[in-house]
This record gives sequence, structure tokens and C-alpha cells, in this order.
Amino acid sequence: MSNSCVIVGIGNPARGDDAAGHEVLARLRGRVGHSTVLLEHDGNMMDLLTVLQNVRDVTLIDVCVSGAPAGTILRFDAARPLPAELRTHSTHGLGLGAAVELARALQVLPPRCIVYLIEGTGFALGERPSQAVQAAIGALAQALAAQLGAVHA
Amino acid sequence: MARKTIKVDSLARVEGDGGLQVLMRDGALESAQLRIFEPPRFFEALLRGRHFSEAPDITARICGICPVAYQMSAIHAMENALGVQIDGAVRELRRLLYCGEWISSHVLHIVMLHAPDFLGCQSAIELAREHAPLLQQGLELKKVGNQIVAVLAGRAIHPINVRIGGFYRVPTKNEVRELRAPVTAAREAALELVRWSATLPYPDFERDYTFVALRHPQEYPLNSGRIVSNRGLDITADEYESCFEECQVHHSSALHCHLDGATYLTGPLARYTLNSDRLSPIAREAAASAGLGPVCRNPYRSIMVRCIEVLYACDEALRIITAYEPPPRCTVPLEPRAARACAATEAPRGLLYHRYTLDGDGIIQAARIVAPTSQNQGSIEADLAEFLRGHLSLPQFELRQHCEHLVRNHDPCISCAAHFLKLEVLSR
Repeated sequence: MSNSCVIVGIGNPARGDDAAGHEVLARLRGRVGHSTVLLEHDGNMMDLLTVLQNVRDVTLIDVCVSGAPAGTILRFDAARPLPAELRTHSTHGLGLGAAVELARALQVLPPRCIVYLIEGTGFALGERPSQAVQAAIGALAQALAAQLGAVHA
Repeated sequence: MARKTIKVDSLARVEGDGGLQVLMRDGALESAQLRIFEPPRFFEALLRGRHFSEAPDITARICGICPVAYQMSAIHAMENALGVQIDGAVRELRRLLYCGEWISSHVLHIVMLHAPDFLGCQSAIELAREHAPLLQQGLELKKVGNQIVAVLAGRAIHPINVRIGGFYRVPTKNEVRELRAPVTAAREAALELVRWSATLPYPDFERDYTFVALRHPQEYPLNSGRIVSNRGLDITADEYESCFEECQVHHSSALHCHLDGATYLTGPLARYTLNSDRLSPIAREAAASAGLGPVCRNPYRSIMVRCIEVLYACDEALRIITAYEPPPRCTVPLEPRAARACAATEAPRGLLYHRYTLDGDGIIQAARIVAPTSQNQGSIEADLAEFLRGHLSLPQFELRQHCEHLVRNHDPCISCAAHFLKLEVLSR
């Protein structure tokens, strides 16, 4: 996996907007080359650290609740420290931001690490992602497919 | 009358959300309360009306750190209800599975949550910057624990391959043999971890705890044994509710459990003190070399005991892996019957008690689950009270740090017991 480009969709596909990461991957399937690995992830950030240790180019897609309008897409380049608000404090909630900063401190952060966050609002069990998040899923998948096409053309 | 408030909105490195309120009146300590305000999740009610075979998968969802413990207590209680005794290779596989969870859970707490307290770091990220080899070693160990659980139980979190009567599928000899190299390396890493733990600065603080743990005639306890204490208690799980009583307290949504009306402690300190003679030779020798006697009443040294238990779990796992021969059957036939049965196993944080009542069709009529953190809350509060009485003159920031460390000594899983710790010190 080390020389591949890895896209990690993080979240729980059964919980409404939390499925966004997985849904972006579903829409990228068949649209990206063999050198791109699509990895569904349940959100266990300790295990995500293991993933980060073994790749050079990673894109992480997760959902956040920041108070922005539903479906807002945030992009961060982990070349710079992620905002402190992305780090949470308990182990049950070891956040994406903490996992990335931990990888940086351990000097195992991939040379390229991009984080996309989609603003979610509803996380009920068994629900589909909301309309606004579905639109964001489509837009992000489209943008990533175009970007990967351009890179690997 | 002066009034002083110290408030910590985000006590880090505990599992779940909760709070702590210390009340001082006229300069003297009035109360120290661990406040769990996470709403109850009603798992016992969720279990009612479900088939007995669903209990392992439902109870595994109580905790993402120790799902195996919840499954195992449920399984043993159900098997007791159905009159089934499991031994041989399936029993050994269950013990191996439990070893995987102990390694994973303990190492998470030792390295990510507890070590920063001793090394003067504010977070695991700071620890990673200043003590990267320690964190790397911890991550490798945790990976091995997860690997064991994944091979036996289908996946590392919320296992799916465990059932009443055995497993849905048992691993092949080759699958288990592939664990041998990583577990051997993990045992070496665990030995290093014990040596590292002996170098930490431990405050001189002891309490005369009532320790409660399982005790087995031959084994260091995981899945089975009698419930014993250092004050003469020696009962079966069936007798648990005649000695232990859960009660509601106004400051916590988790129940507090008492033994004969008093607080007691379960978990690594209790297990070790009541069972140090049951450790494997390598773990016993490592404990002695690290300067740990057969009894440990210093809660700060729980980190050392956890390191010993990680070493033991790796050693025990290796023993089981080496001797493994796949059983002829992965499960036994089960006949539902009306029954009431109990079981207790040793979750990483301590004794975990389950009791179920089944009807003739095997439908759960009643369920009761007593988590380790519910049992330890009283002792955590007593630790805080005893420490605070002698240190009220410390600067507030320092006092807060000490309180947080005292809570983390017991690795409370607040989510299991009923999440985020807030510390509030009120002086009136």
C-alpha cells in the first residue's frame, strides 16, 4: 500500500450523515485507477494511525459538526497543524485531528495528507444521509475523481 | 466565609464523559464526588424479550474497549442457565480471546492515558513528541492484541464470531500459528514495558482497600473462578447479589455498588493482590524484579500491575497458541429452558457480573449487568478524599492535576458504567 494513493472514508454507514465518508468511496469505485486504494474505516482512530504509518499519499474523509450549514465541505492540508477544534479529549472520542497530530509527533505522517470534512446534522440509526450531505458527497466525489484523473492521466 | 471554585471543563484521557466535584467548607474537605452525567443506555431493558443467543452481540455493544468481557460474562451466564459446560480447545480459545482484549485495553491505558501523568506530559500527542519509542512500542503491542481478537472473533472491535456454546467458526491451526511470531515479539515488548514502569516516580500513597476479584484454583483469573476478597469473602457468582448491593446516588447516573455497605475495589490491583501466586513464572519474576511485592495497595502503581498483566496475557496467549489443536466441533447443541443464572469474568478494569432470567423458549425475561466502574466509583471517591485531606494547601492547578491522576489510576470506563470529566472544586 505504501506507494499507493489511499482515500479513507471514515464513519458509520448506518448512521445518517456519518455515512458520508463511505458514500464518497462508493461513488469513486470504478472511476479511479488501480493505484488508488479506497479504504472504508469505522472511525477507530488508533487503527487509523496504523494506516497513516504505511502510506505516502492519503486523503481522509470524515464528517464534522462545527455549526456550519449542513453539507459544507472543509478542506485541510495536514502539512500544517490541524485546528485544535478537530481534537477531542477522551479515548472514545480520539478524533481525526488527534490521530493526524499523533502521526505527526511520531514522524509517521504521510508526506501528503489531505483532510476533507463534511458538515453533518443527522446521525440517527438506519437513516440515509440528509439531502444537503448527499449533495456534498456527490460534489466531493466528483472533485476527487477529476483530481485523480488529472494526476494519473 | 470564602468561596473558591476550580473548574476543569475537559479532563482528558478517561474513557467516557463525567465530572468531579470537590466541596470544601471552611478550608476542610466536605465531599469528593465522581459525577457521571451520561444518560443511562438501558442495555438491560434492551435485552428483555430477545432470544438468549442474541445476548453476546448485544452486550458487546456496551463497550468499544472491552466488548469481549461483556460477551464472555453473557456467554458464561447463559451456558450456566442452559446447563452447558465448555472446556477443551474452545475454552482455551475463549481465554486467548480475553488475553487479546487485555493486551489491547491495558496498553491503550498504560501508554496513551496514564503514562503522560508520570512523564509530565499534557497529552498523548506531547508524549509522542518526547517519548516516541514508548508510544511506538505501545501501538505495536496494541496491534497484536487487536490481531488476536480479530483472528478469533472476526474483527477487533465488537466481535461477531462468539456464540453461546462456542464459536460460529474456530480458527485453523495455521491461522493460530501465524499469531505465534507477533505474540512472541509482544511478550518481549511487554517485558520491556514492565522494566520501564519500574523507573517511574510513584507517590507514596496507599489505602487499605477491600479488594474483590475472581480466584481460580490454577489460573490467573480471566473467564472463571470464585469471587473472593482480602476480607474473607469467598462466593460463587450465584451468591453475588446477596453480598453486593447497587444503589442510586444523586450525583451520578451510574449506580454505586457496595459490598456489605462499604466501598471496595476491583481491577488490576485487586486481581494481582489476590492472585499474584497464579501468575506465570515470567510474569512473577518480572514483578519481583520491578520491585512489586505480592500485595499492591498503591493505586499509582496500577500502571505497573497493568504492565505485568500485559506480560502475563502475552505469555498465556503464547502457551495457548503453541498447544492449539482445533476442536472437533466449534459449538455444542443448546436446548432452551426456563432458568436464572449468573456469571462473572475479569474485564480489564475489573469484575463484570451478569445475571439473566430465561423463559422456557429461551427468551430473556430479566437481565442485570454490573460494570467494573460502577463497583470502583466509591473507591475512586475515597482515594480522592484521602488525598485531598492531606493536600488542600496545594496550589489549585497542582491539586487538579493530582485529582485527575488519581481518577486515571483506576482506568474508569465511564461509558460502560452509564462520558468527559469535569472537575469542580467548591470552597464555601
